[in-house]
Amino acid sequence: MTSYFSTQSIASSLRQSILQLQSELAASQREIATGNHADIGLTLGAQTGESTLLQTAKSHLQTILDTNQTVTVRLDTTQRILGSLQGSAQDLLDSLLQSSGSTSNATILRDSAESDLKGLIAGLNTTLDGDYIFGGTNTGNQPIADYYATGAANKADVNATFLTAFGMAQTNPSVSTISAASFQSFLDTQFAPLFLGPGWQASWSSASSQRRTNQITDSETVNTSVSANSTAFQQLAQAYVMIGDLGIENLNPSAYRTVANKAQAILSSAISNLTDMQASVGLVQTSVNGAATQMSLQMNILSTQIGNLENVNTYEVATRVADLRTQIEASYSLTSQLQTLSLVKFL
Amino acid sequence: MSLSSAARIAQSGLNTVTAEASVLSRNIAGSSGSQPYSRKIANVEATPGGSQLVSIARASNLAVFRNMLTSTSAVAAQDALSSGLEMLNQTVGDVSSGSGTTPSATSPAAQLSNFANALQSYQASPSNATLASAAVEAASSLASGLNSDETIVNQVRQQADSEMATSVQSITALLAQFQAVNSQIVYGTANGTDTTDPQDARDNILTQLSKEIGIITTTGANGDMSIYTDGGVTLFQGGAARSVTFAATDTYAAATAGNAVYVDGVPITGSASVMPSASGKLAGLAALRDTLAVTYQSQLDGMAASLIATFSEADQLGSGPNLPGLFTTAGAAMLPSTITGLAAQIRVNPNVDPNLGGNPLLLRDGGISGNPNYTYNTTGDASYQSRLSQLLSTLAATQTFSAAGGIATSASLTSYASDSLSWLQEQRSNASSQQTYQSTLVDTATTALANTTGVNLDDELSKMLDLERSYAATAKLITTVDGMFAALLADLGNLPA
Repeated sequence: MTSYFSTQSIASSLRQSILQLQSELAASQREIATGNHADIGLTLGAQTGESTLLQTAKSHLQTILDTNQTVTVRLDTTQRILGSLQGSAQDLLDSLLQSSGSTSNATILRDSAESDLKGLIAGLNTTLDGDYIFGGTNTGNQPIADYYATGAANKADVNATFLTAFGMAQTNPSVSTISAASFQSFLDTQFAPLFLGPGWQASWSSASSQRRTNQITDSETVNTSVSANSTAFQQLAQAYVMIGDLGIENLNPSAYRTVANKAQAILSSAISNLTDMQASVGLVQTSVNGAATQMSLQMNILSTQIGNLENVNTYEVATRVADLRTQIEASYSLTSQLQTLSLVKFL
Repeated sequence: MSLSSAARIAQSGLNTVTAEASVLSRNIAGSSGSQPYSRKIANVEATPGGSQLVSIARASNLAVFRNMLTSTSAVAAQDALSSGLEMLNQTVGDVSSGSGTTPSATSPAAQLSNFANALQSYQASPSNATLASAAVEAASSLASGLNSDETIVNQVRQQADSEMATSVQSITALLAQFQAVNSQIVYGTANGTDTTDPQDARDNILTQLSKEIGIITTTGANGDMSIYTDGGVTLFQGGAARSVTFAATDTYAAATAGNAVYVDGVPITGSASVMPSASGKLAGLAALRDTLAVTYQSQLDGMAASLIATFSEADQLGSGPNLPGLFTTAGAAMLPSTITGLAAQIRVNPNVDPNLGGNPLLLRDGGISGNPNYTYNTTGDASYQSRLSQLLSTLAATQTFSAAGGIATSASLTSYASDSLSWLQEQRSNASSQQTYQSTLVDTATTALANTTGVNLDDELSKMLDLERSYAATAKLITTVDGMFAALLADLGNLPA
């Protein structure tokens, strides 16, 4: 008994296979055009989350790379200013050493110190995109009060302390009567506190001691700014005011020598502190540059992994498209041939 | 044996051939229709009085037919599930890496990534109001994305519910038609008339019914058929259909639970059912409405709750309760107490949204709730970073999620969002491969059934040639007998008187 088959089932099975092949063809063509699976979620199933996590990680790294550019500009500016401050401090120190305690260059030294102090204040008050970069986290307010502005609190304090100590203003020519010993004690006990410790933040600085931090790679967060409250700046200000505003041009030679020696010591210390700061800023700059390279590499790896999940082998797909077309054409010709195979035609 | 008996036999032969020809023409006519048609077979018996058409049977194969019904139900369930999942997939959009930050990447995972990046950029320059606004913008997109995702989930459930109502109506109508045809068959079987066409119609009704709900059938000796659901509940018995009822729910919100379908007073969908229906469109829709969509809803709510908790603010001065920060619920001053439905309610706090007159820099300072005790930036520094760093690290930290989400219960928000995405894609993938598999089964079963019970036109046509020959021979026989009678009577007329 041969098996029976119905005429309709032949036609309907051909029809269904043609529909199936056509939808596969459409999907394959889409895959060739985009290079990815036609429906990534459907193909990857539970692994879709992996792909999403990789993309999230990659975009996170890109964000850090972008923010690092702002950080780099800030660090470069900071380094430049620290460099110029160190340069002018070194020049003043050299002049002091050269004059070796003689009063002949006192006026020149005083003028140098005055311009150095203005340079220090201007440098520390540098802004970048509206932020005071030496303000620590308090980037909205100008860090250092302008000593030479009218009614400046820091100048008023210096004047008042000098007046209290010696009963006269610094500009009074009678300062030549002040002895070296009393001047020394004035410098050590009454003058220094104006610049160090709480005195600095009372009248000189409104900066925050909290330095700014930034995340420069996936795992590293570093300090990316310098606060105007750093010891080096306090010492520089102290030295400059000492030379520039305590009336040294009128002092007697021994008092003058006291001031000069003290200034030299403070300047040396300040310069070495500045060098330390420059070194640490330089380290951060190197880290940021290294981070850029490292993160680019990481992003490449992530892209490759994402590609492995999402991409199709376009050669394979092109071959499949060719096969599908052949199959569809074969189905079409079969359909037309089967139509002619009917007994009706022969009766 | 006489000439007249020969004539009678020939006449009965003609009748039989004519009857067979009519069955054949029914087959040829029926095979071209769109309804499934089973081949009719004329049973002819040779009797002493000639030949006789005993009965007309139909070609049938009960096992293959039942197989086809089962696979039809399975495919219908998967189809319902698949189309529901495709609608849910609208919440996800494009997942390829090329989409990135484009509007086609609408999944919560992608929008969360954008928000985290915007917040990271802002944390690098906390004094920059533009970056602050951008971060709040991204938060806004995330919140409204979650809102519209929950709307889509509710729509899916709503649509499933109304389709269930339509399906129940179809079932009721089909059972009424079945009753009419069934009683016709019982009557015809008792009278001995030809019931093959009503039987075809009955099988057709069963096929349509199996698409709506999985069924099992038993046939009695008198041709009466009973139908039961695949869970065992009676649908039709003793010539009467049982009632199939369903109370539709018009609108769906997060906490809405849909009603079950009741057959003969017994629930066949939902968790309360002890005899649940496992295949057919109703079962697929019920699984979508009551399980899949609810699980996805729970995942969305979990993400919303986590966002609100992460960005809540603590009392910096006293020991007051935590208050909502960047993310809050509409019009609320306190943290939400229930998680269900949070995805629809989550908003960006208007105190921070520049579009609503808020100050985006509060993201840096805290105190978004309006209470100055909750301000973190007590010094008022423009580049205050601690709060932003804290927010970023809490966002990346591991949190607890409800087990109702069906995925991890302890994960960071980012991995929870991507787990949710994976879960949905896996459901889609499974439904799609099940659909392909069941479709193949249906095709195989249908082809097998068609091959057993269908009509082969060439076969019928060659039978037609046989019948033609047979009719010609019988007609010739009658003519010959007539000629014999004529010869006999002619001879009789010639007898001498």
